[in-house]
Amino acid sequence: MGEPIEIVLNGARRRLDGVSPAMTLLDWLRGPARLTGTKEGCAEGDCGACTVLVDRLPVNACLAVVGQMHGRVIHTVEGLRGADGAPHPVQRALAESDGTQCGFCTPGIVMSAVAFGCGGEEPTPETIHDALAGNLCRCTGYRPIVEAVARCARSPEPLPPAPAVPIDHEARTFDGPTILHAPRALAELLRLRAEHPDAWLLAGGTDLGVRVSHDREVPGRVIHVVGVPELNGLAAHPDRIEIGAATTYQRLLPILTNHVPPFAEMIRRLGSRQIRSMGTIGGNLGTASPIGDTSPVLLALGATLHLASIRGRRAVAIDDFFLGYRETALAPDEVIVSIDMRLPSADEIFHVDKVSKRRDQDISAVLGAYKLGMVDGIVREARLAYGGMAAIPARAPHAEATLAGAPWTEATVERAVAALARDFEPLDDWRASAEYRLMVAGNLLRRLYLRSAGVAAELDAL
Amino acid sequence: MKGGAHTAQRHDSALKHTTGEAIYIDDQPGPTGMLHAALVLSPVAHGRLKRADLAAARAMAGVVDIVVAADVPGANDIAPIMKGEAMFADGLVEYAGQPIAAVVATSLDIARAAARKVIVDIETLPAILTIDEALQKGALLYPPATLSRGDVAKAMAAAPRRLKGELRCGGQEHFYLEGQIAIATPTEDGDLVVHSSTQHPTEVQHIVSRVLGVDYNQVTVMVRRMGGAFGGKESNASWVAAVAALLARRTNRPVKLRLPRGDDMVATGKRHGFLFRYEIGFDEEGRVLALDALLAANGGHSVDLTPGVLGRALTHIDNVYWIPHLRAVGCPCKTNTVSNTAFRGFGGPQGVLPMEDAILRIARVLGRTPEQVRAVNFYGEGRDDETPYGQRVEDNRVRACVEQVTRESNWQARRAEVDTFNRQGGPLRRGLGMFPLKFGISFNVPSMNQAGALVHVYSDGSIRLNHGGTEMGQGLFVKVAQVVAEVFQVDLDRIRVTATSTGEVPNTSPTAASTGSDLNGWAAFEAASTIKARLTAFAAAHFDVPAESVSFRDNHAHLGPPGANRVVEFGELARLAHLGRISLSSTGFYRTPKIHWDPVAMKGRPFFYFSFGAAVAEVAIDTLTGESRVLRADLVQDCGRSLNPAIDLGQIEGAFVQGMGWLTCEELWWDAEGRLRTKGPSTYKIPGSRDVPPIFNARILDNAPAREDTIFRSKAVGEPPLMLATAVWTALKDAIASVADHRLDVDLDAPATPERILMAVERVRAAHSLSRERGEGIMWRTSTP
Repeated sequence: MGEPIEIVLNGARRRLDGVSPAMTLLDWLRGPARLTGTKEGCAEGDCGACTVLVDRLPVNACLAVVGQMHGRVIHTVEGLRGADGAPHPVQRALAESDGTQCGFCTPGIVMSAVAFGCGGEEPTPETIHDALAGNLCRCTGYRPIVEAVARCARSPEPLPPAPAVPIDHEARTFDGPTILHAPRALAELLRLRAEHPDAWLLAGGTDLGVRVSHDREVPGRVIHVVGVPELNGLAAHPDRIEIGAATTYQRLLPILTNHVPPFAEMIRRLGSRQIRSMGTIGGNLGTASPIGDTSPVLLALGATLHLASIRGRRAVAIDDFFLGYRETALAPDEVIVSIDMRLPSADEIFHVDKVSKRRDQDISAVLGAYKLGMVDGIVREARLAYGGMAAIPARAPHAEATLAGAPWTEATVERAVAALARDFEPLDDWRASAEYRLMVAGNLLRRLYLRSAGVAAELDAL
Repeated sequence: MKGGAHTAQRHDSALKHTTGEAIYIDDQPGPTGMLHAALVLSPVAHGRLKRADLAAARAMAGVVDIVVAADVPGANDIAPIMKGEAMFADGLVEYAGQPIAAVVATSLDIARAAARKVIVDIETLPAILTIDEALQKGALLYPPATLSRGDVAKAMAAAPRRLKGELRCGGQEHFYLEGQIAIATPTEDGDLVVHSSTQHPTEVQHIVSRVLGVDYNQVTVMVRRMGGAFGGKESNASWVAAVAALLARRTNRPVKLRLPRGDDMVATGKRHGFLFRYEIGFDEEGRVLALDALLAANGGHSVDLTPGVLGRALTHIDNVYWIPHLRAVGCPCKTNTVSNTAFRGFGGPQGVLPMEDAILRIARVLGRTPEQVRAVNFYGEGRDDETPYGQRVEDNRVRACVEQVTRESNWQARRAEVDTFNRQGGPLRRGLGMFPLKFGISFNVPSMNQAGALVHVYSDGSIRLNHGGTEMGQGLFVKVAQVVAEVFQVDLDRIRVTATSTGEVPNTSPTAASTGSDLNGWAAFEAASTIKARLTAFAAAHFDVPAESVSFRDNHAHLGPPGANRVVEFGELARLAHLGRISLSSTGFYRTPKIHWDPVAMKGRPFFYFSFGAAVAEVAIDTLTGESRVLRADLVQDCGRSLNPAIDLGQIEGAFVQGMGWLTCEELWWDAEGRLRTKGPSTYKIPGSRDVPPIFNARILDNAPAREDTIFRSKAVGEPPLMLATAVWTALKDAIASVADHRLDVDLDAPATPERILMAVERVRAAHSLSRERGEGIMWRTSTP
């Protein structure tokens, strides 16, 4: 038998005996734990009704499996009352501002608001909407919710404390119907990967979690990689950033904000805080989705992926990583250890544009990322990469060739736009038609030009 | 006393919502031995169901039972209006997502896994998936309905000006956060108690009884609260409950059926998408002389509530406008898609669109503003005030609403500001739009306009209130409790509202059509007043004072003439009355007066009264991507003398945002095989907090008690403000029109997704550049010549 999963729940240590590590945290809370304040609204990480705090960060309980939660400190809506039994200030504020109607989304909103309060951020429309981007409410129209969140900002009410004795962080294997390995060193991870090439490699679980929670798949074996220190490095150099594959967007965001603001801005739209708390950059690359948002950015910036297996280590350029639909250069026994991302230099134009039906927490219809090396108004080098335009995230070789060596003018841009039609056969689905995608891909290039010419082109600036 | 009528009171469950202690059906501890059910849904849109192979599913450990159409002991019929809508596909599959079978097992995971193991053999048939195809092939659910007045052909021919338009709007997924759910528990003698997340407990009772072949009195249906409904739990809750009931009956164990989001979205009905074609005749001032319109609704594969929805669309085609000669034909198209159903507004939001489209076109051809054209067409006062269906528009407040919203939105200044911005050129454009509203209140079917309540006063003076209305988040329970508090003049917290139950108040109508507080408020008023009269008579006799001198104030009965200072606390009076053997319990009943309706002639007075409103919205669009933002919205909504301004404001804001979603980001997308592919929040995008206009001023029309005898002169508010979002659509059209300096008409179907906006921009640009022979400069950079 495997070892028991232990968590700290609402201030008390809990052992999860006889629970499969692949059970979702939501199912465990609502089932065995009988904590029904946390709701299931969609089971795919998009509505936020199941939001709980994990180590004080908001997380969709539907996407997390309990095997990932070992050693973590979890708060649910039931754990917010004070020692005297009084409701948490956020709970009072939401009720008093008429911020609830049917009430079903409310516990999740409460948890997001508590996380926001604990974070100590300045309450601005930007930060509040960012904090609420992962919570849907169908009744209120949000105005009273936003006001209540603003009122509770920067007033971190103490949450129930974690117990004095911390849970150990040894390498572990949990089993139920699913076996979940949580290695704590790269060598151990690589050995497990070599032994179990078919096991799910689980990082944050924002993609695989959907298969468990929504599609009710029961994986046979899971290797949970986030406990491996080698996958958690994060270092900024003058010209590049080294990012461990298991780095969450949440951890990555401050460094990107400092060094590559357009990338940071895109990450804020890539997913809600709930997604950013768990999702990792390595996971986003590993799933190789044609609509994964980080891939085109890394393609445009230029990045090297460091891969490892028990056979050794190798470096692969991002340009050579995506082979086909959801297919990558990773060998069955290989894992992504880190990403070495080039930073744009001062004489390079770099931008990222994400187009989706809804601004926040929506998958891109088109994502364009561009880096242009400029010398005296001439495009020295162009890297244009798109998501949503093909079966894989891809660069636009014809358009790049049109730009390279040409003066950065409207006429050049028009030629590059025309060349895009030879670069892509876009997806055609519920997010957008192929025709729209191609048109927008071109228009994003035009927008890039307008921006560089100082024309106001930012909708969100209005 | 605290909490009477017209005071701003918080939702009765607000704190329970925020602490997670409010109990929804899935939160209830399951009864011992409860089983879990899952549905097997059709993967194809149209076909002959040859066989369902259940063997592999049955063989799974933990599977207790599987049912198909042949296992239904009563009628396999869940139709709410007409007969013959299958609960489980029987022989014919008519939409992708149609239930074919249900599995019940000891755990939810086993039930769902087993459902996936059922193999269905379906011979695929050609499917009709769109309104256009249905019209082409004459596929209708029932014959078209026509609303007409005057001589359209003659008036059209005589009109100085005429124009034609075509417009489409999509459907809308309710996306209640709590999915459809029911728990059916067998009791004795074959009876059942059903907990159902339903707006219509009585219909659940009827459908469960019909499916099981038992009398209504064997089925008790209860609902304390829903996690949202919006019309989606009017008829659709019934079959979910009936499946659970059937499985409970067969296994003799409690059964829970909770639809996972994906099943919920493919298997349950939505708002009707519409296609409109119209011709409109008008004079040089823009006065409408004749309208000839086709309203084709996508009913889906079965009738469900389509007659009501289409009827309401037809009776709202006029909106606030006097149309002397009119013919509006409503076509209920039958397609191989899920059967569309009630959704907040119930055809009204669709029905008001063509006239707004027409007004923008009329304004353009005449070189007037849309506001001028609207104003010359408003219903008159005392003349030109009869709707095409024969009801006069009385107590018309549309001008008051428009004046207030024009003033408060600072319309004139902002119009100039937006135009100045647009004249600068560049890829971003702004738009300003208005929308005036009239919405008829009452169910279009007169018999549905009735309600019952049951009030108990206990001998400590605490009060228990029950009525036929259901709580879905709209605050009905607190509003009706305020009515009772007002009658007894006791504090609101003395009143406990209890779960809606067919066992307490029978034969109820759905909580729908915005009528919840109108109907149930009056019924509760009647019940409470009956008890109050008894208490008055008792107090007069007991304290030996004239009955006319007994009054209730501030939690006390006051006895004797003013200044006598004889008071008895309400609880004490209740205790004494009980000792005096006075009944402290009463039912109350209400039926809406004055209404009548001939559904064939489409004439009568279907509505007790009208609710009015007006909205102004400002938007910005990106002409490179079609993305849009709503920058500001100003709303004025007539609520009569509001029963609860806090709750009503929440309804106004929430409905507006929901309407905005319908008209902008919410898009239902079916693939070529007729499978809905937007079946979760990852693909179907409802508005998030950032999508709400950063400047959002919602107001209740001041000093506006209802002229009709509504409960405390209040008005209904659930649906009307949803239509105020039409101002967002007119604003988007305005922004797009600016690309061609407002010289061209804009075709913009709803939802106005980035793609539809961009394509509209491109069409306008192309036409504009053509009309100027050739584009000057690069069109995407600037459109100003």
